Parts: sequence; structure tokens; C-alpha cells
Amino acid sequence: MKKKKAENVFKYVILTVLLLIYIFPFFMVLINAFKEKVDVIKAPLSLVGEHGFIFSNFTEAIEKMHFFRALGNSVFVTGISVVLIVLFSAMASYIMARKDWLACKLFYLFMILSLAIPFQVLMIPLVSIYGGTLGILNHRGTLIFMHVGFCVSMSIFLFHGTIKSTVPLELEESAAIDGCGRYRTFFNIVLPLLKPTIATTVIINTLNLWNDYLLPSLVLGDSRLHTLPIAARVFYGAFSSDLGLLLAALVLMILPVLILYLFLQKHIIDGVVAGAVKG
Amino acid sequence: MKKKESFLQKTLIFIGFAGPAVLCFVLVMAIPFLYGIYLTLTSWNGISADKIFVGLENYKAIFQDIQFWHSLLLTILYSALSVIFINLLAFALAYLVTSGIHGQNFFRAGFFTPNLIGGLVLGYIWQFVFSRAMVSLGKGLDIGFLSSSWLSDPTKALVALIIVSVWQYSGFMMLIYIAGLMSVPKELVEAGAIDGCGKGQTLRYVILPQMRSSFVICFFLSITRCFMAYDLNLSLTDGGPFGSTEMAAMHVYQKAFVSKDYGVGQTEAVVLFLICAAVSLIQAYIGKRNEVDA
Amino acid sequence: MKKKKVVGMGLAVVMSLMMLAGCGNSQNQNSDSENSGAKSEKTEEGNVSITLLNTKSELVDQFEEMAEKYKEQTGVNVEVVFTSDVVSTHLAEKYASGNPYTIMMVDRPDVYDFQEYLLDLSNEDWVKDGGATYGVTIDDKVYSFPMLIESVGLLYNAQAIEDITGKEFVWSDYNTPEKFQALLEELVAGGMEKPVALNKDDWSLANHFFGQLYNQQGNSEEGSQAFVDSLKAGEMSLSENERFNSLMDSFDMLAKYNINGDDPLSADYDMNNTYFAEGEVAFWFNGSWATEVYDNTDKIGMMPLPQSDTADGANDNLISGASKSLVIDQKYSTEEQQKAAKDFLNWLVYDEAGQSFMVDDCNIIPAFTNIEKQVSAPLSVSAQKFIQNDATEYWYQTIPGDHGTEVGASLQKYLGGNIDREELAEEVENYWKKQN
Repeated sequence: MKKKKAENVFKYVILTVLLLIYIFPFFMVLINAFKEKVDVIKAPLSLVGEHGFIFSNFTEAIEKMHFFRALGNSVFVTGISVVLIVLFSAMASYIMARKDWLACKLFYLFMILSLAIPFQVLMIPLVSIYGGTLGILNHRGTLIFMHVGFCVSMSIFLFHGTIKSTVPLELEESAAIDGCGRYRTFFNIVLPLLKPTIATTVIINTLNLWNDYLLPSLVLGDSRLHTLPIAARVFYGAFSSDLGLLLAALVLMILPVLILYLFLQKHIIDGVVAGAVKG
Repeated sequence: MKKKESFLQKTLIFIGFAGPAVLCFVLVMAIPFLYGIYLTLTSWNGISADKIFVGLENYKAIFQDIQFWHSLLLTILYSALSVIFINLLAFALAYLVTSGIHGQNFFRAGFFTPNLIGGLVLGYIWQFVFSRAMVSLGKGLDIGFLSSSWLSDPTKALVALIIVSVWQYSGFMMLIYIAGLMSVPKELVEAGAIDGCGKGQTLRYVILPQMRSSFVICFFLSITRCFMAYDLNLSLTDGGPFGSTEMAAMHVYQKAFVSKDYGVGQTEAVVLFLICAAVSLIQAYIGKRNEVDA
Repeated sequence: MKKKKVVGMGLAVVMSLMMLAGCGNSQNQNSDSENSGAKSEKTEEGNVSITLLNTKSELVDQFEEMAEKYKEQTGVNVEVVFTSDVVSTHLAEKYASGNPYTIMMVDRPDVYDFQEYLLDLSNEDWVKDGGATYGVTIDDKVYSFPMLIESVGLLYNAQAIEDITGKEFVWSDYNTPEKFQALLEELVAGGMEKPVALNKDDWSLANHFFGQLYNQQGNSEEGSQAFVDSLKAGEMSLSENERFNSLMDSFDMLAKYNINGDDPLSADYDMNNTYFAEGEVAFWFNGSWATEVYDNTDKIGMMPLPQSDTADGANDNLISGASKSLVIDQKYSTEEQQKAAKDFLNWLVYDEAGQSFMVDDCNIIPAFTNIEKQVSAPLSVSAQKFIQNDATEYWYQTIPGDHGTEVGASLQKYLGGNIDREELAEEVENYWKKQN
């Protein structure tokens, strides 16, 4: 018992030290978001700047980046994309994990390989095809569609592994015997078992899409459609930028996903409880 | 007769389940990729309306681009070190925060925060840490290796890149390891404990074998991400000091858009893809083979 | 069983429908190059709508305000877009997607790269009033509108100097290396330990500092071009070149008094800006765009870098040129848009409100002789004096895009003490030989 206590203390010490290192930059962003530019440059480590604790960065950032409009765009694009990505990739990975058909193997291999494609290879072809030839840039729908295309590979990769290693085949077989159709088996039996992975993919994809700058900036030229990262880019200057303002914009950008993350984290654990029942 | 019908049925099932994902994938990744490959056969400068077909000229040209091969070697070194440390740390973190200690949710959220901030901004923050915060600390406490900026020395700048990558991706991979650890059946762990396994033994003989797919996934993702590191490279070192930390993805970008040699840049990007794909597939293959052994 | 299949198929169709919807929308707009422009054109009949790409971060607010005023005055809707990406890369993407802007603010080399897409502006009125001098002319046709004149040189904080020396600072009293170094020594003795700030950024080192080598070659485009051509041909030995050695001597002098001297490659642009503004250093090698120092003092100005080689008036003339230019797209813009864009350029030069926008709001030194307005920002005032006195040096800006990164890397090595001058000369020569 005593040994266990000592071990726990040791764990806490390690975790706390690591945690401090991990959240340090986040902390830096936070304290500097409340400072004037001069103070950010001269004394970035001090808690409060010489010019005091100011909120004007936030009000100014909200106004300059058309925060609520951009937030709406970001929520719309990220929300729909993530739902589609998770749904499409869970379904696809189910069939790919369960059947050894040629099409399954082939597309799975292609998708895995595509994870190694540098975005730079696709950048110009993508805009040439969708802008130059088809002329469908500047629509949020196009961006959602591209997000789905880019993200399904990694999500399928994640689901595939989980289905293969943790979803018992017998469950599905018995469901089939009970007269469950393929789609019902998937939605009623397999999908609930995938909850932890669903939560993980939702988090990973949400963060990727929420912070993505390059693809949205290629697709959405019209400023009314700009998402948060594009809107925040106004504050990055070539020679000098208003750092306090930039960091305030960043905090505003992070808050929604932070809340989502804290909320979803609970579901990872719920999911495990649900999974434990299966045995 | 029967066989044909089942093929139709198979096709319908495949389309029903995998159709949407495959369609989006093909339209957004596969087709542009093929077009991208075609562009490697042209001498296009990235701007002009004419794209002149030159066959395999660009593939010959990359052999003369010494800087590219240098950047590729550097990328491999950086990736190898980063991948090892990312996964060691990520697994350790995941193991610790699933061991049932109090406040583990809080820790999980904390370790994940690096991922909340996009790559570019992270680079700028760490640039400050390395070139300003650490230097003033080093000078104040008179610690030799901290008293000058790490970013102005080629070797230390590479170390800085590795440190920040490990710091950034370990939280991300931790999430996947957590999901993996959570899926290890509790009964197995308990059975191990009853059989008299110590913690280390349980980890070695019960948990790790169950985690193979998580390891394969995490290694795969960390290899591909490190090979293609661009944002961090740009914002932390910008290839400096004097171009010594310019890695492959950045070189490729520079070549295509700054040197206006799109054809060669694109060709180098494809070579980068081939190497990265080969390395990560071999890794996955070895991982899978071990799975069979176990 | 069948029903469920239908559900699955339905999902598969979702994406295709989404795409079709996208296609349908765009077909209405395909005739117009700008979707956004097309939309507003429909709502406000008769009014043309154009887009403008601003690439100068200091001017984001000014441009947005100007667009509102311009709409009130003329009814033409100018949608201003800002990007901090590399201009040529951004435009390469835009042209690949067939979706460029009507008016684009570009760097000088971009005019050559994108020439095939640009509108010939030779017949515009402003060409006679300075456009010909500062605009980019290719095959006798003018393709660019010089948006602003900028100068490169040594920035001085007169306040900080006078606080130590106790007498008025007149830059021309110190325009030789000997006199300049004496002043630096005096400042050091007076308590300013390191009176110079030197950037480590590759654009600053290679394109601005080292760029002087190409600029100070007969003070003409032809002279600079001939010099660069001889480098490309491999006929120029830099280590025997007087200008090169004179420049590097001055560079060594600045480096000796550099406030970042302990670790010159960790210099930070924003920190240098602060050092200079607050008078911790007296000199900063930079340009007239460093406008963020006025909060602290107005007693600042610009001077040419003192050098031992005085040919071409190197110590008297300030390097000045049109750095950012406006160009008009001719490939994807409609006739009306092109006309509206030309009208906009005329408005900038000839309309009271346009002039006021450039000079009063943006603190731009205008390139046009008809504009009599005086700028008020101290650095611009200082630079404008050189321009009005004809004491300027030609600014050769058509260097290749990778000059900054490659020659910049060599200069960083030199600054960090990793290579000597001989090796620097060799690396730069090798860079140029590759440019054929």
C-alpha cells in the first residue's frame, strides 16, 4: 500500500512537470493577449504589461476579423465536414476491414499511401481543376467536399485498426442470425462499439479543419466566406505585426475547440464503459 | 449465374458502405495527384498559361540539385529522431493518464493543448522561447549552452525542431494510444494480475501485444507528418541559420514557387512522396507481420 | 434489405449532389471572373465591381476605408483583399484557379513573371507624369503603376545621437567611413555600448544590404543590368571588385557595433525596431517603411551607408525606387472592370481624394510629379528630400526570387563568422552562375 502511494506521488510529480512544459506556450499566448504590442515585444514573460491589463485587443480583433461572421463560417464548414468524415469513414472502414475483396484492399492501400502525399503536390492541380476547369471555388460546399476527400483516409485508417482489433466478429454473426440486415448491424451494433474511436476522430478532424489555413485560403477567396484562420491572418504582417492583437485573435479561435474537446473527452471514457459491457 | 449475382451484390454493398468516402477521395486526392504527376513532365514555371511537355527532363534535373538531396537527408535524420521520441513520450503519457490517477482528465486536456494552436503560431512562440527566453535564462544563471540562441547554430536548431515536434505531436499520438489502451479488455489485465504478473510484466506481455495496431497507426502518422513538416520548419527556423535546416518539404516549396521552377519542385515533391510512402509502408508491414507472430 | 441499400446509395449521392449544386451555381457566374463581383453586379445595376489585392500589411485599414469613400464618390465597388503570403505564390494560385483580382499590388519582379496576363497601360495619362520613370516597362510598354516610392539605407535616430553628442546631428557631416566610425566611437564613449542594429533576415541582408552592390553601378538600369549579366556569365570576380569590398568593409563596421553582436543571427526584427525607436541604438540598416517608431520620437531620418568607394555618389545619394506596383489583369477581367480599374488609377493620381489617400492616409511618397502634397511621416519626409533634390540611387529590383534565400544564407554565414569574405564572394558568384 505504501509502495503504491509513493508510486503515485512520483507519477504526479512527473505529470505535473510535463504538464507545465506542455501548456507553457498556451499560457504565453494567454497572458500576452492582454498586453499592448510594445509590452509583448519587450517583456513577453511578465504577467501584466507595463501599459496594464487591456481588453482592447479582443474587442479590436472581434471587429477587425469580423469574428462572428468567420466563426459562423468555421462552425458551418468544420461541423458538416466532421460529421460527414466520421460517418463516411466509419462505414467505409467497416466494409474494408471485414471483406477481403480486391476493391477494399486496393482503395485501402491507396488511401494509406495518400497520407504520404505532400500537400504541395496537390495544391496547384486542385485549384486548376476545381477553379480553372470547373469554376466551383468560392463555395463553402466545395470546401466541405474537399475536406472530406482529404480527411477520410486518416479516419479510415484509425477506424480500420479499431474494427479489426476490438470489434468481435461473433457479435455481428449472431446479429445476422437474428435477422439483422447489414446496415442495421453496422448502425446498431458496430457503431456504438466504435465510440472511443469516433470521439478521437472527431477531435482530431475538428482540430485539423478548425486550424487549417492553406486549403480554405485556396478555396474561399471571397471575404464573406472566410473562416477564422483566414480572418486571423490579417494580423500577420510581413515586416511587423501587432502581436497582442494576433494572440487575442488566437485565443478567440481556440476557445470553441477547447470547449468541444473537454466535452468529447468525457465521451471517450463513456465509450470505454460501453465497450467493457461487450465481454 | 449465382456467382455473377453475388458480384453485383458485392458491388452494391461496397458502394453502399464505401462509396461516399471513395468518391470524395478519388475526386479530391487521386485525380489531382495524377494531374500533379503529369505536371512533373512539363517545364512549367508555375505561372504561365503554357505548360511545355519535356518528358523525363525534370527527373534528370533533380539529380543535379544537391541542396534537395541534402534537405532530404536532413529530413530523414529529423524524422527518425522525432518519430522515436514522439512515440516513446506519447505512449508513456497515455499509460500514465489511464492508470486511474486522480485528475487524469485534466492532464489529458493539458497534454493535448499544443494541438489547439496551429503550426505556424506554435513556431513563432517557440522561436521566442529559444532565442529570447532561454538566452536570458542562460545568461542570468550562467549556463553555457543556453547563453546563445539555439536557432543560430545549425545543429542546435535541428535539435530545437525535434524538441518542438515531439512536444507538439506527442499529445496528439497520446490520444490514439489512450484509445488503444482503453480497448485492451479489462479481463485480460485482471487475469494477468491473478497469474501473478507484476505491472511491468502485464505491460510487456498483456498490454503491448494488444496495442499493435495503435503502434502501427501512430508510427505511420508520425512518420508521414515528420517527412512533410513545413509549417514548423517555416515559422521556427525558416530554414536558417543560413539554410542549414531547410527540410525537404520546404525546399520543394521554395523550388516551385520562389525559384519559379515548378516542374522540378513538383518532381522533387513526388520523390519525397515515394520515399515517405516506402518508409511508412515497410514500417506498417513489419508491424503487421509481428502481429501474426504474436 | 432493398430499403437499406437505398439508404446507403442515398448517402453516396449526397456528395455528387453537393458538387452538382456547386457546378450549377458557378455556371451562372462563369462569364465573370470574380464570383463576388458578379454577385454585387446583380444587386446594384449599372455599377461595376472590381477587386483589389493589397499586399502591404501597414495599409490594411487605409485601403478598407478608401474603398468605402471611393464607392460613395464614384459608385464603383472596390473589394479590397489583403494577403500576407508571398505575392507571386499567391497570384500563381489565383491564376491557376482562373480567379485573379482586377487590380493587384505586386513587387517589381512579379510584373515580369506575370506579364502575359497584364494589361498594357502605356496610354494612360499618368505615364507622362512619372509613370514612365518608375513603372515597369517591357518591350516599350508600361505594365505597372508605381504605387509608392521607398528608400533603403541607414536609419538614424537623431534624438538619441544628440542626447550623447550634445550637438545637432547633420547626416552629411558623417558620410565617410572614417567620420562615421568616429561618431560611433563617440557614442560608445558616451554610454551607448552598441550603437547599431543589424537585421539577420535574409531579405534585409541579401536584397537590401547586398543589393547595394547591384544598385551602385552607374546609377542606371543599364549599369545594374550589365553588372548582373557579367555575374551571370561568370566574368566578375567579386573579391577584386571595389564596390563589393567597399560594401563589405562598411558591413564589417556595422557588425562590429551591432547590438546583436554576441549572437548576430538571433537578431529579431521587432526587437531591432524597439531598440531603434527607444534610442538604445542610433542606427538601423533598413528602409523608409519602418513607420512604427514615431510614437517615441520624430527626430529620425535616413542616410546612405557611408562607404570608401564614393563612385556614383554612393555616400550622397539614397537608394530609392518604386517597390510596390499596381497592375491590372487583362485575361480574366471584363472590359468594364478593366476600364474601372484604369479609372481608379487615374483617381489616385489626379483626384484630390486619391492624392490625399496616398499621401495623407498612407504616408506614401508618391512617384508622380503632379502631386504636390508633402508627406508628414518623418522617415518619408527624409527620403522625399533626397528624391526632390535628385539625390537618389537607382534601385535594381529585378533580382530572382530565390536571391533572398540563397545569397541571404551566404551572408548569414558571413555575419555569423562561418565563412570569410573570399568564400562569400565565391558563393555569391556561384549563385549567379546558376541563374542562366
